[in-house]
Amino acid sequence: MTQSFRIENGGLINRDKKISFKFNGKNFFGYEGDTLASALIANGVHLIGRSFKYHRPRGFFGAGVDEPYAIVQLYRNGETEPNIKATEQELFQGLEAKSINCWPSVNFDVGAINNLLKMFLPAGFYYKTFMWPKSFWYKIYEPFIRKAAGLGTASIKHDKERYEHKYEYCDLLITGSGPSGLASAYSAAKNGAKVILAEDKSRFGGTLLTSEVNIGNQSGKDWADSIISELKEMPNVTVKNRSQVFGYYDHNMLVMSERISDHLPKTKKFHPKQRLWYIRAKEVLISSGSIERPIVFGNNDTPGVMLSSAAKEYMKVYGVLVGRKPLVFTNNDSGYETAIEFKKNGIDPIILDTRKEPQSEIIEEAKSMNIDIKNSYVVVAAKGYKKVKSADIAKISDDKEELGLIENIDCDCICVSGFWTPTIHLASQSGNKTKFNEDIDAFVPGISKQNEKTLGAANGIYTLEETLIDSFEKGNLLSKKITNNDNKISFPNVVEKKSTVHDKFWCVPLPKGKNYKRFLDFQNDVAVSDIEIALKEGYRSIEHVKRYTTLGMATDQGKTSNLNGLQLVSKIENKVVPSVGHTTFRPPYSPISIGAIVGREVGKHSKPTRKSPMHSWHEKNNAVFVDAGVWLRPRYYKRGNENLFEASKREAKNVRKNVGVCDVTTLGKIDIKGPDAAELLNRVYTNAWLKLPVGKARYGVMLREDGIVMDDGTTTRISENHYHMTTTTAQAANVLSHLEYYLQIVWPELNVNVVSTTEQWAGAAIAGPKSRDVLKKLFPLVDVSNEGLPFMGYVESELFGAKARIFRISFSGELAYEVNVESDNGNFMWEKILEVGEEFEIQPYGTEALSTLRIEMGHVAGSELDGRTIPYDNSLEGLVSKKKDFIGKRSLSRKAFIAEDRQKIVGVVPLDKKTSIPEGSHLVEDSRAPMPNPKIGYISASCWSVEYDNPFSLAILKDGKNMIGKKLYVMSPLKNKVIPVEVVSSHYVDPKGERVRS
Amino acid sequence: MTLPIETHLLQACVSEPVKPVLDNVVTFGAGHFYISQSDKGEMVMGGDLDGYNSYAQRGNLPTLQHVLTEGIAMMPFLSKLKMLRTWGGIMDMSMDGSPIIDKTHIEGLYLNCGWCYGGFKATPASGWTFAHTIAQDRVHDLNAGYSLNRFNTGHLLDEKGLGTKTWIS
Amino acid sequence: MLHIKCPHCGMRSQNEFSYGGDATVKRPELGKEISDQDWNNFVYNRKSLRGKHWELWQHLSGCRQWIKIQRDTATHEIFKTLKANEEIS
Repeated sequence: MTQSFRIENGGLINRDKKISFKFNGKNFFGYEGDTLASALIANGVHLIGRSFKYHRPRGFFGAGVDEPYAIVQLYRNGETEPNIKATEQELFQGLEAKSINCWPSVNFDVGAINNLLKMFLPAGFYYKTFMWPKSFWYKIYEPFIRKAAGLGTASIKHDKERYEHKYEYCDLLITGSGPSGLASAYSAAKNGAKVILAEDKSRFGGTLLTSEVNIGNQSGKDWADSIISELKEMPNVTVKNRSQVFGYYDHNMLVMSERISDHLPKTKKFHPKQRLWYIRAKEVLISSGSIERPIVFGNNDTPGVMLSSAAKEYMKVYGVLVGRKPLVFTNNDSGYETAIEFKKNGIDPIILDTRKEPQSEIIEEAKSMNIDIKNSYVVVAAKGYKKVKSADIAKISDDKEELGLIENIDCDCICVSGFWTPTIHLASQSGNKTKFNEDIDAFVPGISKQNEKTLGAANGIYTLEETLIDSFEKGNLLSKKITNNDNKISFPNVVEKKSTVHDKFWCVPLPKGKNYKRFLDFQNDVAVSDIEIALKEGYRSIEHVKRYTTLGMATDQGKTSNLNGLQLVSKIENKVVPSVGHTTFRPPYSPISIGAIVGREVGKHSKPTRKSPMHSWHEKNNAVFVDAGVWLRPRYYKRGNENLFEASKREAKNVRKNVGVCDVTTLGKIDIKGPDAAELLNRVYTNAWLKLPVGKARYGVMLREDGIVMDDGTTTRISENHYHMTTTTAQAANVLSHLEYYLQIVWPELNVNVVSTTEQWAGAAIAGPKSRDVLKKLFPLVDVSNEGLPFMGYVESELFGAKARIFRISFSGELAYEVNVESDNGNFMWEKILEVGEEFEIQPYGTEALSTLRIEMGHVAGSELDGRTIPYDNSLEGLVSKKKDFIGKRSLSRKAFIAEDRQKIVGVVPLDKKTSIPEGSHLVEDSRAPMPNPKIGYISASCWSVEYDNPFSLAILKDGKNMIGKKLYVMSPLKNKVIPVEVVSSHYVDPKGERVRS
Repeated sequence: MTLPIETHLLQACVSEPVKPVLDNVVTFGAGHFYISQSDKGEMVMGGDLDGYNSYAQRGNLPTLQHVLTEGIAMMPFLSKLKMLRTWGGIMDMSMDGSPIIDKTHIEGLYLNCGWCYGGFKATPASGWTFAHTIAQDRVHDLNAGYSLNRFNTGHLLDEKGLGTKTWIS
Repeated sequence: MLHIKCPHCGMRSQNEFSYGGDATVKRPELGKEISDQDWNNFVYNRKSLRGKHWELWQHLSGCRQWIKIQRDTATHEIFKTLKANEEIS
């Protein structure tokens, strides 16, 4: 197809570079520098999709971020992305896009029947229309609504693109590179301030690209180009295009998304698709300009109705005509600029101006060009279905209430200008209390909460000269405060055409007997009548009206609709706009890819992975790993075709029979030093610590202040004022913070220091009846006899030259030792243990066997110390000192904690000695009791007892101490299991604890 | 009368609307993330608190970054969707993570609070038991456990086992 | 993201810190008689102020010091930061 709507010359596109692309399966050409929208319009494509609710035809309304209509499904490099604004998507070679919300095609759409059903889809239809009869909701209404839901289609494939994050600090962050952004950036840069200038679009310059002005004897665009090239050369300035500052957060933290690859056919190798910048700025200058707002009239959503500024931008930037018979409908001078641009390109526009006798330089110019101007005229309704074919127009009375005779005139587009709405999103997000400016019928920033100032059109200043004066000055003043430099810029000579005041008119009344849909929100299909219904039904707060009608909640977030919505509410309510107030502006300014927000923390990088120094040995020896918090721990070591159950049983049995070795590096380790170390331990743990001799370890339990067990572990007295504390893997970081809190805030008088040494020591537990034999070989010089190194004893020695700590402690319930060496020697230690242990049939064992061993011994771990149990519940009440006070003690005397039938840990064995019991199951007395069947306990941990070769579980059971021998039922609704069980002691194996002392 | 409640900030967000891909509410317990798709097609997502006392109704992006990281861990396709809107609300976080539905020692004053960031799914049951409590001036069996006095007696509910650090979620 | 002035390290981003709650809560003295009500107030009851709020933070990924911060819970503005051993005035 030829580009029939492309102007022969002009525009900022590169006509030397043709680009081919596909839309709805058809091939087209455009030029480098086009957007998908400009290229489609150049090719005469005006119908791009269907609306969401009524499936009405949709064309193009804007030329950028404010676009409510032109949303497509994009295909790029084998991937697809939903909801791309054609007005923002830059054209690239091979681009493919498709319409949305239409089936079977954009030209013939079945869903358009909704348009005929529109009486059933009024405001709040989500909330009410389909609520009755109730049974219809699931069967008919919801499937119907859900079928209509959504815009594009999400790909459910993994995203292969990369997204990066960057943290940056600057003196001034300037958002937008129009005249105010450029001027302020320039004067701040000249003062030596560290400046970041961000531009959302691909081209710098903002309105200077489309306005007929002259700065310093150059065109606005040339001036912008020269400023940008100078800024780019300055080392203190970062200039970024395709970069949108979308959020203003606390303490002057702003977030910017930089689109690095979205305009390319595919992302370059090692490049990210997008980069998210967290920017902490000392000062922020908001130069985000303004967005033209529409005038509301009948069928104003017909393709071909668009913003007048967009029509001008398509001509001036892209060399594209949006129509050949344009009607310009305006209440201010901006429409004239568009009409003049049409005329310059050989097209005869007609201007309908709602004003009676406006006079200004711009209007004079239009008149001198013989442009047809109709004053006190309005467009009553657009005519045409898939494209504007004509317009019903009429004279309007001075009070704007009465329409004159309706005339129909031919046109192929209606360019509408209802004046300008400052883009105050960032200012409002910063906490700025915005105020209503009567002169421009819009909100502007008011009192600042953070270090932000708003410039130019975003601040309601619409003349170039005022904007530049203010912006040069603000840039200079703010940077001077920071750098103490004061380099004055000589102010350039500015030539611009003067305009006159706009008409406050914004909505054309309906002619008698007609009820045209007059749309406010074009994407969400919210019309004037919807707002009227909402108010009739009693909604008053603008926030409620918004949610009820979905006004301004579409992907354009109401950039063109919010203010007209407010005007309407205030008119019906007979209030002034400021008292209606605007809805809260919330980040992001425009939709931001979730991938960019998340950055690199995806897949394996979702969380850091911690590995022990012996990790590579485990890998080489067929370890199957399990996540333990962020640690990777061997769950079992696979031999042949073994599964988890078989392998862990073998490993656990070997510990009970011979000897096993387990990597326990992940246990938290805290070094505690100082003359008051014993006193600290005495306050933190529930048992007594003041008399622990040097060279001895002790098991301890610590509580939170609410009396609940926080953690357990052993602590060893290394020397007079030096202790080594171990914590569970999961609680290591919390315990350290807990100790630091009490030392720094509560008991600063204690002379103690604590530091984490988890990473400094590699640990191996050697457990089993033959562990002493292994130890003898590892440490031939140490007396490891039961007398020389008794249970809970501690010695230091050397392991083949490596400094080692030997603790005689046991989690498995067997005779066991734990050896620590410095992390660098971890692998050496591990290999030595296996080497000398070979003759004793040593085997490594993983966390699954470790669990089995501790469960059948009745040793508690994380699944019992789950933040809901007290020492008594875990049969640890013997460790609670009656003599001294400690953290959480006072809570232990509460009624529920001392109740006679308080829950307590027990063992549970299935009656058939075969059926495994799912962890988390409930314990009930009667499996057939009516629901809700009272739960009297729950299974905390389950294993296959290797000692007795049958399933065994630990449970926390109400009145556990009196339940031994009782028959109960385990119920797992999740696994649909009911298992009859017997309650036994939690100490299933070696109840007297003889083995650890052997 | 002092309540065992702290006020915290919770953010949530929605993506742009897409055609139906998810017909259930899915929660990711270990990652603390929930997601559902609205009838309009938007994915509604949320998770952690911002983590400090707040009445501001405005949150910060790193919290949402963290929440969405968990989201992508569960459903990697979310990466390509765009976040449309975010908001922050204030949550009455009780000290054991469960609500209080109770009468008080002041005649005519009843409590239904401390819902933390949950509660939407429990609204019918909470309304029903609360209505019963007010109408009969005594608690129903079903909300007897949700008494204010449990913080004195130790009959705590604390399903998550986090204790009084309400900001840790 | 909050910008917090650690009295030991200077201005740092919030993600280096962890929150510790109301700083005006005083732990009862060890070993001293205390009523049930006072103990429960210490464990559970917080003022949860709207406005200026003294609170504890720990510079977890920095100097690991617990610090006291006066912050407005309605605006997130931070007014003062103190070292652990400095008294709130």
